[in-house]
Amino acid sequence: MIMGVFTLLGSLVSSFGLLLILRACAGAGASVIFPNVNATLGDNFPYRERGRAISTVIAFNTMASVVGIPIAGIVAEATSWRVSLALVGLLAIGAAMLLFFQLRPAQVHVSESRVFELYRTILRNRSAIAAIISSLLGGLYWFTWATYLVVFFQDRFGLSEGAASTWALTMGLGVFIGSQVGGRVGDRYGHRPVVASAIVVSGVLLLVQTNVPLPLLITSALNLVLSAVIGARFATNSTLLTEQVPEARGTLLALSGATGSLSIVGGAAIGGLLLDLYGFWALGIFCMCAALLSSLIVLRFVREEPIDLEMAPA
Amino acid sequence: MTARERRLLLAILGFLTFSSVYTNIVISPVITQLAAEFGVTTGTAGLVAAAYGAPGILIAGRIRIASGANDSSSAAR
Repeated sequence: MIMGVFTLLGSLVSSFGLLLILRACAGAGASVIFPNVNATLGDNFPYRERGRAISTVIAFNTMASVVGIPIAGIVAEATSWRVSLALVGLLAIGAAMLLFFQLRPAQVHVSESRVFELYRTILRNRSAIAAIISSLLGGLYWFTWATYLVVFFQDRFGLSEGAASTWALTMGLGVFIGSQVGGRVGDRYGHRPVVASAIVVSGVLLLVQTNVPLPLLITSALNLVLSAVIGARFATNSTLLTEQVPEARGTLLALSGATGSLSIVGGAAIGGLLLDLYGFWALGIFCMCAALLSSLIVLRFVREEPIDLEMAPA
Repeated sequence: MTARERRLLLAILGFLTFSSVYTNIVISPVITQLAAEFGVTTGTAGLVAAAYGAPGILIAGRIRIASGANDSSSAAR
């Protein structure tokens, strides 16, 4: 509800500073959604059904990129960015009301000392810390690019907002395909190799896309592939994270959520700075560096121990 | 929880995450319009996306403190 109301209010502002504040308020509401969704799935779906449940939720939210970016772009071009923002705000308010009437909140009490113990458990685990840092770099890679994807199509090919947004749906489509395939590939060959290799492959493709002048069709195809490859990483990286410290899984996912938010902030800010100072070629190089570092950390420090599989009931 | 209730739960959670992601990515296609309307650079307009993520750095970690679900007791599920 907070997310929806402040998004709606953001569509009415007349100053940039106020828009920043209202978006931060909307983000405060949004930040609690994913940790709680993960916890709700964990609480209501047994281990053997949880993977499919998580995939279903991922499918829903990647569809937001597939249909959301083109719709928002076309609506903004036909009317104004205010209308796009207002529509999304209303959608979020609708989701909040549905949740309010359909789900009852559960109360779980955990002592403060227990909470600190869980954090200590994670901080003592080198592999878990490496997995979180790698996720941060992976998020930085992704959000630096994803935030300015539509601007890239506008800038490179002189497209209007609506047209650029339509071409940009290759991102959502790619992530959707990749996330559905990635989990299965990870189950078969191990999640660590997929996490480490996918981001480098995606980074190289992004480097080509931002540094080599290519026709629109080829650029879009390249964008689809690089998004599919990184989409495969999203699913496998979540699985790898949940395997790190099973006794503190929720806390680890919460830390991961916090680093995800950090990567949104860092990605959008760094990407904007690079764009203003140098252009998309520099953005591509930065993303490649983040991707390489993320991959190296996974290969060097992250362990893959499928503890859950051993503990799952037969 | 019955299979029907689980399907309903998944649909609700899916819709919720859909709207959450949509609220985030809606800025991407309108960055140039924002920059033009408020007289800022494209990179500065991108800070609207950054602002959305900022509270989550603190809040996402703390929300688990309030819940604690999925830790230890559910690790074996």
